[in-house]
Amino acid sequence: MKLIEAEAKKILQLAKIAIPRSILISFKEVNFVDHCKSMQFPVLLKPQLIQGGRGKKGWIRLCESVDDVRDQITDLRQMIGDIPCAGFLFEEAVPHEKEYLVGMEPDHERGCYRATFSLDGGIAVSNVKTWPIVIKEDVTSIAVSQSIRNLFANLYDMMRSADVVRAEINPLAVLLDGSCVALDAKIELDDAATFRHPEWQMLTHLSQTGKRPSERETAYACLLERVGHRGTLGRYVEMDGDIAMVLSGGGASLVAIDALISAGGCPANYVEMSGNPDPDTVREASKIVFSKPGIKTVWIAGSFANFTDIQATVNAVLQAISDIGLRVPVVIRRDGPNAEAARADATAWGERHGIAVRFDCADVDLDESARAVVACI
Amino acid sequence: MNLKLFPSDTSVLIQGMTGKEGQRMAQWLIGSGVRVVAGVTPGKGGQEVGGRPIFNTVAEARETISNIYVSCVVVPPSRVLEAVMSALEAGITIVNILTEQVPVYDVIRMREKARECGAIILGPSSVGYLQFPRFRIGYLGGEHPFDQLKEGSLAVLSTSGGMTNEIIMALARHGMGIRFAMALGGDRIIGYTLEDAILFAESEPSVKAVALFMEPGRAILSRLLDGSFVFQKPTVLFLAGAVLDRLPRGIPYGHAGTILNEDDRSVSEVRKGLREKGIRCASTMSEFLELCRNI
Repeated sequence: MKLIEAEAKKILQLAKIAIPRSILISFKEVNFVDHCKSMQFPVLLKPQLIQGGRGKKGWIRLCESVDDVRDQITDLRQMIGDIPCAGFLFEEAVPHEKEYLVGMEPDHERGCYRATFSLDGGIAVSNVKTWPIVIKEDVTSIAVSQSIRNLFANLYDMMRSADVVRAEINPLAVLLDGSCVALDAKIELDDAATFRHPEWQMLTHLSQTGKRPSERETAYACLLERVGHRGTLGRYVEMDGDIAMVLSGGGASLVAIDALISAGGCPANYVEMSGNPDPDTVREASKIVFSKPGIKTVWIAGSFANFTDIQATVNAVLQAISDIGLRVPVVIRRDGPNAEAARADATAWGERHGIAVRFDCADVDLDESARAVVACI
Repeated sequence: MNLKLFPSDTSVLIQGMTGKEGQRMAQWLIGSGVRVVAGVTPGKGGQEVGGRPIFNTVAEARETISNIYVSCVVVPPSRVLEAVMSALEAGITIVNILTEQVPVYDVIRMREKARECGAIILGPSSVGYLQFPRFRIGYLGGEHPFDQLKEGSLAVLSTSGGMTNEIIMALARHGMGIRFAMALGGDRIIGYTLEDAILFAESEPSVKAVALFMEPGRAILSRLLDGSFVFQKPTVLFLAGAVLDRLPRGIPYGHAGTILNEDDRSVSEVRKGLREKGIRCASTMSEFLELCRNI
């Protein structure tokens, strides 16, 4: 989960990294003038949204007075429109000498953390250097000043104790006395570690795509939170097309949707459920997928499963179609445990409901099945 | 530690064998002739699954039964770290983790420990490994893979478990055989990497060519593009996920490791760059099979 700047900075503060004095007010708060009174001007006004590039878009404003704040807020509210935004951060400006970029993330190849640093912090960052950090002492080998090395040591501890998977401070301000202050920060938490962080429930859960989620995307996100089943019930992203899809397999879902687009089909959504998912959850999730208006065909597709019960999974998706009362052709391409029983059930379901069902196993590949889907329209 | 091909009579331990998935894995492995010798579930020592004894700890299992150095971990995400650490401390040198959704920091700790012990971690989110004539761990290939697959000289390596199976089954239908197949796992950070697996396949004389499947966002793609990683044996690469060029960036699709960040190259640019380097890169299953046939 990506955090808004205000919450990212709280995590930095817990990790002993200095941040400017600030106040967060909600997006719709009218009486913000009172909040400003305790601040020392000039202040920066920063909308709290997940999208990057706020500086480039001109969404970060320097305000010299309360009147200035009022005008800027009105203007920003209009520009932001319906993009999910948690509020405005009022932050005292920090006079400084230099701006750098510092960050830390996992190093996929080495299986450790990796420190990133650039002398050109700010909007157009270039020349980013990286150092593997296998043990904390490795920060001493980073070619930066002692105060920034100390900051890297704190970041390293924070990655481990707070289950952070990506941290970036840009810009990091270096003051006249050589000390550092994090002026802006991006932090991403590890969704897989949610089970050991009950405190994460208090965080602001904004749409991670930076766009306003559709009704169905919101319903799906709620379902995910309720079932706590992310490993096998993946993301739902709405697309513009008319072919509703329930895909299985992290890799196969991409192969399938690529095949559909190559065949000239327009997907209505991306969604992926795999790893022998619970049939009741599949049914609930599928109902959300099928509730999108204007669906012309349903495609149930996935890889040749290693251990997913195909009969239970396909039946759950078909039940969801009956629940919604959708009456469009259904094309199925699944194979693996109980696939033949799944075929028999699906054929009987089609006859019972008067719905055309085509069921193929792995002898028909995903490319061919995708063409069959497009032919239904 | 470098991986070598497994002797077919390698002893295998299953951690979490008393659970639903663990029991099924035991049954399937035993059914395909794999020497599953014991299971481990803390607090359930003394029970049996599929006629095999259950021990409370890996150390106890290793003291009682000799020559166990391979373990399959089928436990819930919050218990994976403890299970793997105890396996490594007890002297297991190859650990396969089926479990998905293991925290990144836990994997980093396991890798630190594995480095210390000279051990290999395959996974997390790895559906397993399968090798001809008759050895496998995990679920790779389903219940009776050796009846459906064909023996040959291709090594299949993939970040996706489902696609590993899809590929090996499709190869068999098209008359192509494999020496071994390995599902590495699609998480952001995994133990045994694609690079490791490619080097293993290239070092094995019985492997004549390598078939790879991966999604966008894998570290090896930039290394292939900048020439710092070069294939030593004929290789076909299936890079899926052109759809990511149409979807919002910065979030994972399918696997936790399948992410394109704002400033990453598009999938079509990466495919083009790979082909310009002379790499056989497929965008669809049909293209992939065609390239494999002509390799």
